[in-house]
Amino acid sequence: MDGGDPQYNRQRPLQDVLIEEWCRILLRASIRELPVVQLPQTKRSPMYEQAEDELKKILALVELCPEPLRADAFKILLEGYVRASMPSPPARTPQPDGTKPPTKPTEQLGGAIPPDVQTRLGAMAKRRNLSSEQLAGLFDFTTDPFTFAPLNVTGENNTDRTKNVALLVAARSFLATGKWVGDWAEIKAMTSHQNCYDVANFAAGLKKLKGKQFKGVTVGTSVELSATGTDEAEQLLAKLAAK
Amino acid sequence: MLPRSDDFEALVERGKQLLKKVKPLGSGEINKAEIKETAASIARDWIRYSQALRQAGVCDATKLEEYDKAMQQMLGRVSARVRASALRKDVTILVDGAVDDIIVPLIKYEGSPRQVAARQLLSAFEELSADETAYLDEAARCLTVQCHRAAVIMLWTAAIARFHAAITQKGFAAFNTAVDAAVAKKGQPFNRIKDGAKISSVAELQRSRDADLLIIGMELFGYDLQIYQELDRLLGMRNDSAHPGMAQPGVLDVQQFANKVNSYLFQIVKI
Repeated sequence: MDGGDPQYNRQRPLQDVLIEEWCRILLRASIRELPVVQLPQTKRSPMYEQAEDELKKILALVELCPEPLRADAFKILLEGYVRASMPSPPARTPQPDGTKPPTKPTEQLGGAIPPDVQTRLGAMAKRRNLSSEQLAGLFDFTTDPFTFAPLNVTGENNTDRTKNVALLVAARSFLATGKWVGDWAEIKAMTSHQNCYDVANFAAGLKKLKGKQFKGVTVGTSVELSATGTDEAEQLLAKLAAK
Repeated sequence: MLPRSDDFEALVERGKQLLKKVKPLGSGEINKAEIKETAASIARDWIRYSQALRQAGVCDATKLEEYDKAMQQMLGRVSARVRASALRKDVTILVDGAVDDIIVPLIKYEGSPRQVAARQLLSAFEELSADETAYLDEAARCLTVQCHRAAVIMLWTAAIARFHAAITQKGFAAFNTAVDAAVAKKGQPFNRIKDGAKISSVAELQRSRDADLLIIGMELFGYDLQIYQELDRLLGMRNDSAHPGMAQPGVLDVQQFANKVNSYLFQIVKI
């Protein structure tokens, strides 16, 4: 039952209500502001050290209120005390030239990368002995959906470069949706961008890789990577990220 | 519907083949009907594709006009006596310039991440009715222009279209029996269903609340409380998208919404 129900409150002594309210407010404060409860055991929080005195003062003030308003008054006063005891976030020092202080790289990444993508990106980075920042540097997360940052895809010839582009496109798709499937038109667009689009051999070149890097090739629709393909794609990303 | 870059590539290839046939004729008159028919067919296809391309705003409109003019001219020429040199001139305009002016911009457009996301969204669904396809197409179009809230709403509309179609298929008597079964059950969420939820016409079905249909669906389509709760959360996201607030769904949110709608509704409520 909800403690805020007036009928529920009327049936219980005021003291019980006050204790319950006290516990709830402290619990909420602990959850919101971890430093309050995460202090070393040898050092007590100043909030708890002074709590007894403060509580006495609060109860004295509550006594001055009319009976029906005491529960609310206690809650308001206690919340005010807890809020005042919270450590305030450190103020950012303004830069001499008036510009905003630089944010940490992880802050920048965390702010822009969707959580699901971040999870997959982190796992892939770990598998390939890279930092998440290195891997994330290959992509532009300022756009929605995220795209590739400028990169140069190399290879022995146009067919090899097209294969590498397909692997990268499927890797981007994996990071976005969890599926190692490269969209046909996206591969085509990226090969065109990388100057390796060969209209006569594009489809044939990809079809030849079925059973090797690709599990399935549906012309005009998509290519699905095999285990070999996913491994090569991750290796390629790692190579580009390490540059 | 916007033609694909593959269609234009095939058209340019046909133009190249035509040039090979016309070249040996020099400046002589074309007497072979087959060559004239091929030229006319290329011109007609170009004009058809060009209109769709102009509406989509993918290519430079002035460039498109140049090609349109050449193809109109070619179509006019082949209806009368024509010299091979004149026809060659028209086809060469298409073959030499269309790749850079038309095909490359179209390839870039097709391969843009938003278009890819829209295609991925549609690819999640199978065996759709015409109504559902229309709503999902609209959702995909919303995604391409970054109207993510609208995309969520259209996805949910497709889901409810499936629900309505499935209920209609089962019949109102079966639906009303399911209402009775839901009313007889105690506790959340069944206690939200009242006898008044019964229906006897499509109009009444259309007026029914989505939230009620999801509950009655447990009885009618046999899904369990967990699936119901997933669907209820999706309805919550749909409602959030339809009302003012601070929610800002992104492309991935819409794609996830689509995947869940497919898994929890389209895969379970079959028609």
